[in-house]
Amino acid sequence: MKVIETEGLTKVYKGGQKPAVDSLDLQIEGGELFGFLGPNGAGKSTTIRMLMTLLRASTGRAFVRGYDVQIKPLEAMQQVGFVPENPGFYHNLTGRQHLNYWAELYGLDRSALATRIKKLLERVGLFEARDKLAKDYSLGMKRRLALAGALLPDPQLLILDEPSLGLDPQGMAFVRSLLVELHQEGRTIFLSSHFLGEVERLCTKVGLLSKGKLIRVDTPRAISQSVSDASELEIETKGVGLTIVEILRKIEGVSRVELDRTLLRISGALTEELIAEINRVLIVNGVSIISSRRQEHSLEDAFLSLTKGEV
Amino acid sequence: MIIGVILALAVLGGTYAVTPGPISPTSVPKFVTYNLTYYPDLNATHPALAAFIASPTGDHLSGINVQLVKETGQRFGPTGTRFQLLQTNGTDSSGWVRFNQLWTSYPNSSLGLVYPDLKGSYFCCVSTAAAISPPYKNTGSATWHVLSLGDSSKETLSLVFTDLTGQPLSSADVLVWRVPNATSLPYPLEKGSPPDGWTLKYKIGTTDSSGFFINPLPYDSWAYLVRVRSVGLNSTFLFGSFYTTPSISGPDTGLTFAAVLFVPTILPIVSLALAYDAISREKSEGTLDLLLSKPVSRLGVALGKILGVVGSLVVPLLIVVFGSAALVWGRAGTAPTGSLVFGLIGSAVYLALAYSLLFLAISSLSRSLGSALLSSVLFFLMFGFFWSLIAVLIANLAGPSGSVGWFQAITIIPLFSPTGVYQQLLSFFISGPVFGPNVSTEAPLQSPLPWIVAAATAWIIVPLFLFAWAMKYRVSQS
Repeated sequence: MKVIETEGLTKVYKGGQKPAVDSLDLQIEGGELFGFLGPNGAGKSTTIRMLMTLLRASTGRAFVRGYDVQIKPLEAMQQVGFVPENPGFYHNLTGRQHLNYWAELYGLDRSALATRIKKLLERVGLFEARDKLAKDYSLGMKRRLALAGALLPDPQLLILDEPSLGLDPQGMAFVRSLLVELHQEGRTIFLSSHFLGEVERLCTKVGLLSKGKLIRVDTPRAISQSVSDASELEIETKGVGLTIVEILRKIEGVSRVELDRTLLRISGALTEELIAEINRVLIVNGVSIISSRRQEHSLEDAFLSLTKGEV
Repeated sequence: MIIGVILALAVLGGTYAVTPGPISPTSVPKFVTYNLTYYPDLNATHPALAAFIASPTGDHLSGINVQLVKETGQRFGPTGTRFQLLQTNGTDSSGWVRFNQLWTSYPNSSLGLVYPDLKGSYFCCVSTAAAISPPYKNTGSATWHVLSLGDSSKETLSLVFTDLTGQPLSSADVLVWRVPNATSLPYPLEKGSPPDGWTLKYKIGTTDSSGFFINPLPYDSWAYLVRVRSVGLNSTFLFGSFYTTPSISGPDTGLTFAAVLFVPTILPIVSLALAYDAISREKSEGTLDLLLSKPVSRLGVALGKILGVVGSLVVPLLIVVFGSAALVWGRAGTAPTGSLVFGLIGSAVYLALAYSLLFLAISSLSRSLGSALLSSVLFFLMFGFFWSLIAVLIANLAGPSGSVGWFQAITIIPLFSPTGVYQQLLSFFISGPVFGPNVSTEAPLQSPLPWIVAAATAWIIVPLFLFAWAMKYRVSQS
């Protein structure tokens, strides 16, 4: 089942020349940890706001849990937990009072609510601070409170807008491990981020968004590999000469060879067979290999390459 | 919260302060209001004026200044300024004052009496007599009198009947004959005998033990002939009459002040404080995103906001009104009129609802908290203060004071403000102007009923629609 689906979703802001989100066709399967990746201003938040009924699409449709968010907003939002980029809190309510208030909005059964809220507060590490005013929380605590609120209805779908933005490294680590945990429990998680590293490590699938358009959707590894023909092998050698460089250049699959004193840089379609062949040629020609390192191309390179440096 | 308590205490205190204590015959307060009674029916056979002044409890008041004035040619008008002061006499120990030889001294003049020391509810009973000098005896005439009821439906026929010695005429039948074609009346007054058919079928009541009679008369004519008949007495009696727009006195004074002065000022301010940020603050502080992304309908959120704001206004309002009523009761010794208490509550709830909806609509349509506050304050100043001045301005442009155009403008323009609608609703429950120490209020002229209904409905429907529309299609949607 598609948990999130959009058809030609487009948003043009009043007075805006270009669409902030342009004919977005997105399909997210249940159980995925989907990273919605793009630079600031790419349209990630706009898309999320349209999914969460916080913004009306100019054209196109968006479905959450199979419900059109414009036609059946209440049904669509029933089992969705949402953490906005900058969650706001009422200045006179404590963390726990916020959870009680949101529970009312979800129409949760009151009988087991106190225990449920206690567990959620413990899970997000806010139990100690439960009776402090939420406005006095740090940004990390605020996010975690919003996350606890998002988990109130025990949702199968979580939508998070830039969950680790502005957090300290500890906070980021906490949020990431919590997200992994929640994903392992079988929930679908849709998060937006402009941290490539975060998405690469965390997500099962990545959607690349640039200037309102979806460029590519795939696993992080597949995206990285799709640009691997530009990857590079660095070999620290002893006894290498220019003749060896010429020999290496003649190997099929090698596109470029550079020598920097004792360091060889070899580019090409570096398959395992090719790397083995390169090693063999070096050894046969009496070159000692001190170290060899393959420069893996990251999602960042892929992203830069796919958006052709327009970031 | 603290401000709310202070405001509530201010209303209670103010209400208490303007409520007079039980009326005592020895304490005649100083009032600046001029009550003018106008006597066009002096002639050669009725050349004198005698006035008798009593408190509502029937006590005759001595030492009260009464001014004899002469009209200086202009039409009798509501301003009452075109009069020349001729004489000032004080009432004697029995409450009587007299002006003799008027016809000789001021032939063919229109004379009047002004009571600078009196306000509202004191009775000034005047008759023209052939000769008024002690010892006061029955004059054998003046058994009827024309009452001109002015231009307000709030006029009440208030009479006291007494003989010339000041003895009250109790248990006397009061008969009223409405003058047909009253447009030609009251000036010049028809002379001659009372109309045919002075029978008990014209009886509208009897005087009480103090000789007092108070009865509201319907407002479909301008003049009444009134006659008193005391069964079993052969002698005729002087009967004094005074037509008045009875001012509110006793326990209703304070409540009327609260209704006219305090409620329409304080209630919109509190409603502004509660409503201007209801949506705009949620927007600016980011709480709205979390709220609206929950499975709650936007119209449900709007309804919740309305109930929250109006509920926060109505509960303290009920406490303050009932508290005021209890205080007033305690001070004046009698309970305030029930219809005033509940009419005040009903009108005030309307006012709270109308302003709350207006400020909620502004809150939902504003881009920021600051602009919501600014717009709300501007609207409050506009409708709560300046609109009544604008109405007067427009009325004066529409025609000279008292003309048809002026009257139409002055009764309809105020309805374009919720405060104006409130005053109109209130006017159904307030029986007249009210005067207190250093303050006075006027009951507004009554607007045409269909206009009141239309305006009252519009001030609810339009902001309600705007608020609902903004919540559904504007807030976090564009």
